[in-house]
Formats: sequence, structure tokens, C-alpha cells
Amino acid sequence: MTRAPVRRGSIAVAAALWIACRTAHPAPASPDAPARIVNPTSESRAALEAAVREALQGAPVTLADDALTHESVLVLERTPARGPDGLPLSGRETRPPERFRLVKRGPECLLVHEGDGRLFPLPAVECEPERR
Amino acid sequence: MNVPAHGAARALAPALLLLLGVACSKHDKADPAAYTALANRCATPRSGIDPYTGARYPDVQGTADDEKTWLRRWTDALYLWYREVPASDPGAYATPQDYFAVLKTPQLTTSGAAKDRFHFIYPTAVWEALSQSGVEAGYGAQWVVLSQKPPRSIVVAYTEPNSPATTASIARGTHVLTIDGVDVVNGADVNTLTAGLYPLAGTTHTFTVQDAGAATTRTVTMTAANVPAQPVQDVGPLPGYPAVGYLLFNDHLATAELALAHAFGQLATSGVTDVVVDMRYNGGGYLVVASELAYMIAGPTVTAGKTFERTVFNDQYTTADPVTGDPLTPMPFLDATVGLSAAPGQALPHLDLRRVVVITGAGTCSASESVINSLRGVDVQVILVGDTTCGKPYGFYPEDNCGTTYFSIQFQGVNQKGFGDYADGFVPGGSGTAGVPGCLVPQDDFDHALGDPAEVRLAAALQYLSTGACPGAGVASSALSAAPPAAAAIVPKSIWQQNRIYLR
Repeated sequence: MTRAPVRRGSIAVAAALWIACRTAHPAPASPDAPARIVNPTSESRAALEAAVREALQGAPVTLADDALTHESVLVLERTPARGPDGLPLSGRETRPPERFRLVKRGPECLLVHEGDGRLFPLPAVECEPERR
Repeated sequence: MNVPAHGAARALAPALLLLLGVACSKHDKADPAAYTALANRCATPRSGIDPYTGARYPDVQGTADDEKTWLRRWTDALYLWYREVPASDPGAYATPQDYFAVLKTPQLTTSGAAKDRFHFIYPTAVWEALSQSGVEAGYGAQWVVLSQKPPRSIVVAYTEPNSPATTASIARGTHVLTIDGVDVVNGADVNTLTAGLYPLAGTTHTFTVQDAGAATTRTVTMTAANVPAQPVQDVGPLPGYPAVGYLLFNDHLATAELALAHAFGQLATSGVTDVVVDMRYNGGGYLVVASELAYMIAGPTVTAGKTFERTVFNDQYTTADPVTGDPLTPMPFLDATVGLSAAPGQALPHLDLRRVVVITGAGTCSASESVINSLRGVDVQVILVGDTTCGKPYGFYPEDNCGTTYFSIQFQGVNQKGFGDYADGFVPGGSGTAGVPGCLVPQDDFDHALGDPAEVRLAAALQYLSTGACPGAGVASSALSAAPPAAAAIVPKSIWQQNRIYLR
């Protein structure tokens, strides 16, 4: 299974596309409840990172220790790169970030890659429905 | 000031709707053949699967000369000032990267600075690395390296909440004196200093620090972690100034979309009539976040149907983006979330301000400058207080070839009025086209917390709002005398350790 490369988007069109395609094609209704991780352990953190890497074809990622413990959405963007002057190399970023959602389906915790809708079970993770 | 309830359909600006058919269909690129013919012909091809595309690396066996020729053609096609690039013999340069360094304009700006200060290379594998939005290894203390060479001076600009730094009571104004026993000011062991300042997660380092206003030093030990940044902090009416709202906005991260929407919702209900947006350390990021911020400041009346920023490429591409092939349609002021971190299509709150104060510094750059320029383009009065901004009305599509990602300026952003000539930065209180009403306050006051009305730049902003005049030298003299020079007051937020700390 391959991930379509999302390398670049023109500035104005990218903004329109993000809104239009996500608003016009909302995710189908499902019984899945947005969830957050509870009682995180080193094993659950490793499982989450492994699932994210699998979704991204093995690309290395950096996650916070408390990722998905406060909210159900995980946003990944390019690790900030700066020049010797300390300023960002690209201060006008147009590439959309990668987004994941954690949902609870019955007893299962599932990570959803919003880019392609794939699901990644997280058996080593304990989660509970997100309080609204 | 109001926050009307918008539905998602209402939130789609007409300008965006016009783009939908465009965005969801394919377009031919503007004849890229001239510079793509030699792409990916590498002296040392990569093999296997590119983890960032899921496809095989496109590299095939070539030569260093192939890579240099590709660079020249790519530059001739896409560089904003391609006509100004001197002829040069690629054979005179040992590597493609060396050759790339001269493929830029040699011209200067009116101030005498290099016209192109943004010509970079980066290892592709590092450039493409992904992180949870705003997460970086460290202590959650943002250093300002006021002097990289001895006698060095390193001070904390701000901290992230709930971080190792705040646990150790590190705060703005804390000076770092030693790291793992090495003298920060004059020490020769720069590797130890760099490892301590920009650590790997899980490593522990010991610091001698002197807090702002303290007469003594103390020792703290911190273990680095992957710390998430909170790009928007200290939101609310200022103490003693209930009509003046403040927010510290440090990064145009994806997470800033939701944080800014919350912040402006809070400000909208608090009754403020003026707002101070502190972007002195904000070097840019997502341009859509900048557009959303500008909308939340100005509101729909003055922004509807107006351009937030229009992209201008070199004169070979006047109708279509040469890289994507998309039409060159201006970016509007976005009145709804695009879904970076907030749910998409949510109407944004707005304050409908006709003037706004932006606190600036040398690190106020790129997308942050777009906020300033876009508001000036629709005649919102922008008041700048602080130091001259970095001067980057430019952008690029970074391009990988053979494992090196090249950054070469390809476009300029201009506002509703077609203005984008601020290569020397916006100058608070300055004259000329990039001069902006306000107060030039070069000193960054590390003796006061950000958001403290006594902090020198914020105090100047408050006085300007009240009287229309900037403080005299005497007003700010005590704080100014205690403040380090601000020439290097840029927060180097992420790891790019090369040349970070100098031996001499």
C-alpha cells in the first residue's frame, strides 16, 4: 500500500482545497467515538509511534510523550528547520500537515490516518472516549 | 466587535468557492521540461524506498556535472531574479552544492544588505522529517543567543508551560552561565555547550543560571524531553488595561489555528477595544494561519473579497504557478478554519479592529510579516513597536535533487495594494515605503515577563495607544540600560547545530 505523495501545494489553491475537499466530503458517520489515551506507558507510546510510522511508510517521526492524552487529534508537520541565523528556512509553509485521529470502537483503540482513512489497531493502548 | 454564528457553508468565502473546480482538477504544469530533463541524475544515487513518498527514489546514475546543469536550468527557470544571476563556470566548483551557492543575485538592497539572504541547502532526509506539531527535543526554554562568540551571552526568551524548564523555575530573563561545568561566556568546549543547549530527548544536563533580578546564581539539572510548544500564550486583557487585549504568538504552527481561534473568541467576549499581538519571536510558518489571524483582527467588512496575499513569480510565469500549474489566484483573508488543527470550515471569531499593535523584532519574519502587510493592504492601521522585522516577503518550493534540498527564492508575496517591497524589513516608526507608524524600541527587555505592561516594548505600545507618541529616552531608560543588546535577539528554536555556538 502506498501513500500518495503530498509534496507541495500552491498557496491559494491549497487553502481552498483543504476547506472544500474536507467540507464537501465529510467522513462517513460511524459509531467510533473520538478518544484519548489514558494511563500511557512506554509500551503504549512505542505502539503509537509504530502505528504512525507504518501509516507514513516508515518515515521517522517525533512525538510528545503525552501525544493523544489530551485530545483525540494528532497533527504532524515538517520538523522546523532553521538556518544559521535562527530563522525558519521556509516561513511560508503550504504543504498540509498529516492528521490522525484516535477513536474507540467497542473495546478497541484505533488510530485513523485522515489522509487515506486507514485504521491502525492499537492493542497496547488504553483509551477512553474524549469528553466534550 | 462581534462573533456571529456562521455555518460551514457561510464560512466558505466566495473567492474560495471559485477555486474549487480548479483545486479538484488536474492542471498541466508550465513546461517544466527545461529544468526537469536532468533531475535526479545523481553522482551518488539513492536506492530503495523514499519513506516520505512511499515510492522508490527517483535517482538514476549520473554525474556531478549533471547535477550542476540541473541546478543552472532550475535557477534559470524559477529563480525570482534569474536575470541577475551571473554566468559562472560550473567546473570551477567542487560540488553541486558549492555551485548552487553562487546561483543567486549579487545585488544589494537599498540598505546595502544582500538582496538574497535566503539561499540555502539542507539534507533532504532531515528536511522531510516529521514531528508532532510544535514538538521539539529540549527543555521548553527558548534561548536567545545574544552573542555566539566569546564573551557569549545566552538568556531565556520564554518558556513552554509544563516543561522541564518551568519545573526548574526557569523563566524569561534567566541567564545561562555554565553548562555541564563549561563556562558559557568564554569556554572553549563548544561541543559540550551545544549538546546542553540543544539536547537529545532523554539526556540530562546541569546548568548554572542567574535569574532575572537575582544577585546570586543557582544550579539546575534538567532532562530533555520532546516538549510540545504552545504557540499562543498569555491571552487576555492586560492587567490595569481592561480595554487592551494581548496575546503572545510565537509560531505559525498547525496547532496555532485552534489556539488563535480560541484566543480571539476569548478576546471578543472580554470587551477589549485594542489588541497587541506580540510576534517578536515569530519567524513564520503556515501562511493560512497568518491569513486567518489577519481576518480575526480585521473582520469581514474590510476583508471580504480582498486579497490577503498574492504570489508573484518571475516574469516567465504571470498566469500560472510554474511548479504546481495552478492559476495564480490571490489568497483571500480566510474567514473559516481550514482544518490544520481545528475542525475544517468553522467560522472564525473576529474583532473588527481598525487598528492593531504588533510587537516586532528581528525574528519577526515571513508569514508574520504577511500579517502586517496584508492588514496594511486593506487600510487597517498597523502600529509596530519593537525592532525592524527580518524582511522576507519571499518564498520558495524547496526542491530535492539527489538527496539535497535546495532553497532558492521563487516568489514574492504582495498585498491587496500590490505592495511587497520590504526586503529590509518593516521599520517601526520609520519613513519610506516600509516605514510603519509606531515606536522603534530595539532593546528586548528580559527583566520583565512578556505580557507585563512594564516590559519596555509593551509599555511603549500602551503609551502609543494612549497618547499617539513614543516614550522618551528617560521613560524607558532603566529597563533599557539593563537589557542586553538586541541585535541577535532571534530565538533559534530548533536544532540546526552547525555553526550555532562559535569558538571565536
